[in-house]
Amino acid sequence: MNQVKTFVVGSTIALSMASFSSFAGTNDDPAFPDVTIADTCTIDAMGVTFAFGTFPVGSADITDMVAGSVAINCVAATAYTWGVDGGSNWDGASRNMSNVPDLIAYTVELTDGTPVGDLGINAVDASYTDTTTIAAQTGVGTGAIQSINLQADAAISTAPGGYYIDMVTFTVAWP
Amino acid sequence: MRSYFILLSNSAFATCTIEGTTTTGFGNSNGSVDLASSEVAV
Repeated sequence: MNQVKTFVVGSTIALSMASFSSFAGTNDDPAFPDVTIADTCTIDAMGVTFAFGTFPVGSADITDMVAGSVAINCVAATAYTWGVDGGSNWDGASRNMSNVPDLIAYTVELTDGTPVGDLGINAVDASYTDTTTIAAQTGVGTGAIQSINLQADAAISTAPGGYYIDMVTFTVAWP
Repeated sequence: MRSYFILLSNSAFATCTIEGTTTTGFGNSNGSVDLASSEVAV
């Protein structure tokens, strides 16, 4: 990621220098303008919580648990793709919280039930490796924070006792 | 050549606690065998 950011700054400096040299009568000495390049997009998952809670053995599966919101802020009119990876225990079909050797499968969804994965982010940035078979989501920046509410399901009805945990990463990519 | 930009966010944890012990066959909820319930009439 740092290498990408370095490339962005270097490109801008080169562009600025080219612009300077295009003005007739100006000093052609090399210049090193001090520039700050703001990120085109940011994504903040601090408002997301997949804390399903504590339940007795044999409890019913959890459906549509409110899971907070992810905040995305992109420069106006910037088309972006965002998603959630498969976490630490993706099994090829679903995410899982783990209490070795037991697993609890869970989902990450929009509030309309649409599952959220990261499939397709690789098509925007080839340096990213898609980790799920679930489609990523898309949006268009407005220049302001866009909060996207999430919900989650967890299949706990057959889970043995124990503490289960997983970690997922939210990603936004833009061309 | 087209350039691409990407930004990764912080991560989020998913957690769940299941209380109690799952038993199979004869036994009670705390995992010990209940002899009274394991008696089989023949």
